[in-house]
Amino acid sequence: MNKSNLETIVKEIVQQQSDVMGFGLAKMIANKKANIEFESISEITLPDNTDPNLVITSLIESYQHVFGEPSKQVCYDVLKKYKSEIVNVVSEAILSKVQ
Amino acid sequence: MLKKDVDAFFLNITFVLYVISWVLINTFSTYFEATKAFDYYADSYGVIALIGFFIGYRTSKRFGGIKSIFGKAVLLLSFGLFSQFLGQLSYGLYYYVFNVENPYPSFGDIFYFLTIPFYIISLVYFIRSLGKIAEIKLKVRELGLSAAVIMLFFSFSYFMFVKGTQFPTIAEPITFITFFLEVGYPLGQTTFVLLALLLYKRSYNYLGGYFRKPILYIILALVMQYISDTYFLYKTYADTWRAAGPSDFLFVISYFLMGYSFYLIRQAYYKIHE
Repeated sequence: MNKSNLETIVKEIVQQQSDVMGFGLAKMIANKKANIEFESISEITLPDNTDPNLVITSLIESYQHVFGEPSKQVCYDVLKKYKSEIVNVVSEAILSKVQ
Repeated sequence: MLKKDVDAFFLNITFVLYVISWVLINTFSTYFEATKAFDYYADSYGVIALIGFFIGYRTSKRFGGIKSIFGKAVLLLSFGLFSQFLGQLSYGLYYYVFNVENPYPSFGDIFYFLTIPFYIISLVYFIRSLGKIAEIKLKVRELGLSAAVIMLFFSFSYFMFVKGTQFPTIAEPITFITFFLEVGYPLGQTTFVLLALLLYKRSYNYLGGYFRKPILYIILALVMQYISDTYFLYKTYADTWRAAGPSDFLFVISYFLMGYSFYLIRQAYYKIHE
């Protein structure tokens, strides 16, 4: 998966979470819990050697830890739209939820 | 350690004071009957709803206010609580300006009734925050149980308040407002308590995280509001309502529970920030 696609997925997950819980909280969780630093969603950029599976898993677990299953489902709903991009990248556990 | 909030401190202190006052007034009622203590109590406990509103309003801003589903849900709940305060303020004005005790129905009921749509829309947003409504799958047994609960609540409300309601006729006209309230209050409150129960079913096993406990407190507060309103209507229709009686005490508890649930939501926000 190229970096651009991964950043698109991350941006969309954060945007969807913002729509539910507010941008401030969604940003805080991504910054503090998933170590994704940004000031606005459009500015989200990831380092070149970022492990896509690690980033996606970290986001899912971070949001789930705070808001429970609803936030987890929001992440899966986003990933469903990018199934072809993530199929060889994310774990089987995540893949099984987005098939 | 929970972060201390000044408004939450005032909520707790005010609640404790009103609980103690209620116990004292009713325990030594023969002494207090000569004073205006009963009336002052009945006309002032709405301040708990006002403090709760401020906590809810400030808390909703943490979640982006109207810009997020959760923020809207909390904001609308706090507006519902503010409506309760305005309703009580109006009733109080009626008593001190026009010397009418318990002026049901009156313009104060505009505010009291507004609580219902605020709570209903808020609950819809809370349920939406759990995921798209279309994707919340309900099992057949759950549907059956839900239908049974709906029938139970509607039957209770109907036989308690709606049955026997006098419909406006030419021979015996009653105001449309009276008729509207006598039907609208029980049915509207039944609607929001049923939505609260639906939210409970969804959130108990599904929500998790830091917000499960605050949401459960919100549900408890809404059920308590239903009980308080139902009891108030019952006592009013039976002409046995009295100031600083059990009815007022139930409202004190329900207002506190709602304000406290806003405080818990804010504490959850602070915990995430740590």
